[in-house]
Amino acid sequence: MLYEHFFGYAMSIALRYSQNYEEAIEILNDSFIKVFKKIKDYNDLSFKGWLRRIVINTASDHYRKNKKHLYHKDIESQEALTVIDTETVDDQISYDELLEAVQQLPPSYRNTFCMYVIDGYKHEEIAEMLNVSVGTSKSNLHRARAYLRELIIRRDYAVA
Amino acid sequence: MPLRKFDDSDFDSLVRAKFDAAPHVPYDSKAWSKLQAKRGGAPWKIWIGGAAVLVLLMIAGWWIWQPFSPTSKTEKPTAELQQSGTELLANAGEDAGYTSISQGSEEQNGGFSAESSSNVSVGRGSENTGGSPDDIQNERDGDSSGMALAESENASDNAPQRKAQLFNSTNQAVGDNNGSLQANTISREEERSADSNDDQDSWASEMSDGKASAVAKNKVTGQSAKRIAGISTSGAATSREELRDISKSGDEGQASVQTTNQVVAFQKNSEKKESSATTEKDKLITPAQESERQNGKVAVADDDDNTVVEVTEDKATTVPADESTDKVAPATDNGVLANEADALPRDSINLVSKPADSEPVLQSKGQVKGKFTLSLLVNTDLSTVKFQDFTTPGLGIGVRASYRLSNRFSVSAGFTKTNRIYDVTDREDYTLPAWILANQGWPEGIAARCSITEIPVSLRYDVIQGRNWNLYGQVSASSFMMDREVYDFESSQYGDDDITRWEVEGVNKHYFGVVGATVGYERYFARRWGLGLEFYWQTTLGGIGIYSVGLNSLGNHLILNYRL
Repeated sequence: MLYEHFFGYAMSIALRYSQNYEEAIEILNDSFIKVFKKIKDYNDLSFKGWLRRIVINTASDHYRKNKKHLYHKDIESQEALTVIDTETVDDQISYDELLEAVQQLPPSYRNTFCMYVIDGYKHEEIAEMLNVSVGTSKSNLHRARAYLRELIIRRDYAVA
Repeated sequence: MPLRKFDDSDFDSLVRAKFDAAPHVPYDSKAWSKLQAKRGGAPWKIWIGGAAVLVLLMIAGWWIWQPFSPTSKTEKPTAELQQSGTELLANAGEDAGYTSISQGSEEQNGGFSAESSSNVSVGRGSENTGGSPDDIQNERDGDSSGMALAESENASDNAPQRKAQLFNSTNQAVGDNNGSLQANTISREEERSADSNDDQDSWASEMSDGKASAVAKNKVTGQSAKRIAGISTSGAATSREELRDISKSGDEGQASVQTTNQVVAFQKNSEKKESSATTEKDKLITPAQESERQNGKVAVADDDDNTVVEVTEDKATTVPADESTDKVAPATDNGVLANEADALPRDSINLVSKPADSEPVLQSKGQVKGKFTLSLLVNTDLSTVKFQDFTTPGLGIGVRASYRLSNRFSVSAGFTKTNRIYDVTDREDYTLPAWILANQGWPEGIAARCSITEIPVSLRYDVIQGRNWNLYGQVSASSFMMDREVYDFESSQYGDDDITRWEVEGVNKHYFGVVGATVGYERYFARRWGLGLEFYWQTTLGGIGIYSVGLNSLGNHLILNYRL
């Protein structure tokens, strides 16, 4: 079954574009509905790549539809620590903790951060997909990055 | 401990690495349920709703069609006719001088009344007990069955010969209710002859100037067809459906006969002169009546469902007939003779009762020729790509509604939930998705199991029609709703991560993408219920399913029919 077979892969993508598991399921199902409808038009060689594109597009659609209702917490830019033991950070933070931190980001920051950092989109593409300006995309990325770094470093100090 | 600046690039690399190594998210079946709900619910709910709508449409169509059914019209009690017939007869009876013969199955009072001394009345009924003038009013008001045969004896109010004759029809009654002929004889229970000054005039309680009044009330007791054969001056018997009245105007020397829903045949038959004169006529037109014929004209009305009254031109009677007046003129639709000169001789009247089964009965027995038929189907199907590699038969069940356009043509529609099971081995017979082709290459074969809702629209022609069976051919165009498609890839080269089964639901819909031909036989073991067996062949026009497979199907339908 196609859905079951690619559920984990698609879900891992949807999770980082959503605030919680339920929202991720919603994005995932919307993505698979698109897959079912357009499966006959699929001609790419990599199904996973095609599926990932669909999930990300669906997530951005979801953001555009609901951004008026989303709680937007403006995060003040913070100066992150510039000197850190990178190996310690890498060892101490887990995927689940990092995912949780990403999900705590405001939706606009989260989408921009994931699309740019994890999925490799450019600011122009992000701006188009999220219907924002390129400057906004850059700003959102900067704020998201700073917020996450603070979370990580604070946690790192707390652990240490 | 390496300490260096933790810039954005480092951070991005750290995050990317963490997400790339994300652990596998376990499958959540609840998520699939949510997906199904989001797509509009389970397919079976849709089809049950569709079936309910179809049934409602069929019931509505049946109700719309029913009032226009010829069968239903003929089976309706003709109370209106009864009433009108009675009234017309009563009006006709107010004319002067005629003889009436009344016949009824349930007559209690002779089935008629004659109210003139110049008239001859013959009562005929299965349970007639009398026909006295005292019963006139009872006959008019109460009794609703019977037949009147009125003969105008004399158009003149002061005719020298006036006779009234009443035949009790106890032994002559025709059992119209059960359709059996009970008797043909008329027992003359009461016969009265009188001159112009006779007391018979006192019968005419409603007539003041010597005119006769005859009343016959017709009762619709059967539901069979009623026909009336009118008088033909040329001697040929004619018939009309539901001729209500044939009235005879005594004043004008014209005969009028009124009847309702009764087969009445007037036949001018010179060949029956001798035989009729000695047999039927002797029974029905007794000497008492002969005297009435001298000046009278005959009007015949019969109310019995299963009785035919024939008027035969027969001059070979024991009593010489007065050719100038002793005639029965043909009746017109409005009950008035068009030409008195064309009247039949009075003494040519024969009342002949015919068996009940000689009367046409409209569709009261045998098959119900309804236009709508509901069918329940059980389907067995063998599908193949090139008439090779037949696999396990697929089973299905469905319903169908048919509408008969004409005697031989009918159309039908419905839906069948069926399974098509087939194997595909030749690469030319299907299209493999690119992503599977890229990752895994061509499989050695695909085993397909498809759950399909088939919606056929068919045109049927009955090649041979038997009494209770039909042999027919049918062509159809079907829409295939691919509810579920399961494809198992057959290959020994696949690794653990390769897809060996692909299952999709509700993705493909092929509207009128399948055509077929059917030969069938059906037999009705009851008026409405029948069984049938069909053999069909279907082929796809553009391929079906996710692989666009050109499929051929052979199969049969076992059918249970119910005619509305």
